[in-house]
Amino acid sequence: MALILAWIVPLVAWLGHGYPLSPAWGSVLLAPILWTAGLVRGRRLLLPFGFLSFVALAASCTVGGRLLLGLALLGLSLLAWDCADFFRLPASARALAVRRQAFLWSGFVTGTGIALAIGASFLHLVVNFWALVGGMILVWMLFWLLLREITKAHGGETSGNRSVSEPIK
Amino acid sequence: MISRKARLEFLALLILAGLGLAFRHPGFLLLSIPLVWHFTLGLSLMPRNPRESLLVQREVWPRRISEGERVQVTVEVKNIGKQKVSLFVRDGPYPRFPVSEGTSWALGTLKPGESLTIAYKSQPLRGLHRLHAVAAEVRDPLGLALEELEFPCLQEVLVLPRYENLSRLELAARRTLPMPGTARARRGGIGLEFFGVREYRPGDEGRRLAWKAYARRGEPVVVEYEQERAADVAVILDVRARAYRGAPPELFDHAVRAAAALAHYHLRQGHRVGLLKYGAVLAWLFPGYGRRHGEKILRELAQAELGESEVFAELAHLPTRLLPTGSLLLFVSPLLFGDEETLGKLVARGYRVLVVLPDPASLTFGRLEKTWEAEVARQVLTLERWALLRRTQRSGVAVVVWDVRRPLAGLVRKLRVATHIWR
Repeated sequence: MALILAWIVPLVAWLGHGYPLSPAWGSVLLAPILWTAGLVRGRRLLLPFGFLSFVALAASCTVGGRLLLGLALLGLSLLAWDCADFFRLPASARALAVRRQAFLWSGFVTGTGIALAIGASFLHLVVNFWALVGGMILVWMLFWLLLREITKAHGGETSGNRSVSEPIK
Repeated sequence: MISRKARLEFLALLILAGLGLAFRHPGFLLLSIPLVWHFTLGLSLMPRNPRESLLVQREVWPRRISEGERVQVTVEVKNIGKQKVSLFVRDGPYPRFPVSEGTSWALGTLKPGESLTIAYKSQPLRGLHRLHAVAAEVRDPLGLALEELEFPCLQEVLVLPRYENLSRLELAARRTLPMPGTARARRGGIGLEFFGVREYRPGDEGRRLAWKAYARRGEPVVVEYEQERAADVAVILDVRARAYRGAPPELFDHAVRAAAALAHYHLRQGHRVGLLKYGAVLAWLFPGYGRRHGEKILRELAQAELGESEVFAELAHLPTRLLPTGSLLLFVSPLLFGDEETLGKLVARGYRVLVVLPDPASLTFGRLEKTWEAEVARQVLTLERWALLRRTQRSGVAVVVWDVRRPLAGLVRKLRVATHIWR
């Protein structure tokens, strides 16, 4: 399922742009190729790159003025992203039920998210300069917190008595 | 704990929001809305305090088995909370406790009051198996948050070594104890085997009178039988890892089985049997009698493991103070060069020594392809081992070279005196 969705994303992008024949469009295949390699060859580290490529594709559509297409691509990417996660659960009768439930949840959450974004696009908000600066600071603080969390998870910080095995000099 | 997936999603969201703010492009901000929604709603679906919502019970039956038998393990996980919980439960894996039927994991979503059962069978290998905690991974349906939990349900399964019932082993200790047994005491008294005749003494039973000898000699004589008494027997299991190096790992299991068979046989004969595990640490089980003591010995043997120790690397540090002089020492070991000297000294000090040598070549070469190189290697090893065994045997030690693919009973049955190497 994740594979099918991953190949649908560039197809939708291509169709959304009126199926142009420019060879530059070949580059959008990079994301599903990364995704396929990640899923089929068991290299799960490639999946995040694939996902970020999908998000970049959606963002480029938005920059080009195709907001709805961008949102559709993002929605499909999120569905593929969720499927790639729960379809690697070990197969059993119970796992099928869990997968089905997870897929329904994913569809619901993504669908409502897209609907919210479309709804928000009809709002006309005026953001002044200081709100913009405040927003930037907030975003970068959150980014810093994320980085800190990632470093912690990899054992970047240590405490307590630890002995390190190394040759005696 | 936030998963890697959630972190990456958050990173994408921050990049989009940052670009939207930096370039004042509403499209980026609108794109970040589904991501924010997916991220926050996904995390909010994670159950609160899943540890308190779950009750885990494990049942293991039976908890004491012999090698080759199977154990049924049932794990029940019940949701006693008020929220729905999606989880992956796993029991094990435990070393030397392989799953032979069923699966040791389960995946499911539990509504309040529902339960999930894992049932599997295992054919564990010899040893004392400690089944520790049952592991559970609770996650939200979108896989953004996960919590790894451990539910301690410590249970022990004891797998005793499987052993042969030896029917006869005539090698006896040099000294006997003043208790009835089956070791010939080389003294006249009550027994089964004829020992001699002597003159009648007041108090002797009339039925023991040898009438024909009485008629010949003209004075009353009585028949004496050889007394049968209990003896001290020490089973010494070699647990020096060095002695088993290069051999398949199951050779040690065979050695343990041989030790169990010897100990069990001598206990059945009414002897006082002690057990010494020599090599890693000095584990000495004081000599005793009876079935309860037999069970103790089996428990000790079940837990026997190979190990290394500088102190006990050589057999010379065998604690002879623990072993009464004149007792029968049953040494189960593949033997190392240098051991024969110590064994010879033990014989010189008055012990009767029998070495049961589980043959490493019987296991190793049975599995190798029949090539010229393998044949040469086999012959070289056989010669080396033969030289070692000859030296051991010359010092008065009885040696049984045991091809572990065959029963041990047949070899020890024909063992009488320490003049041959039995193989």
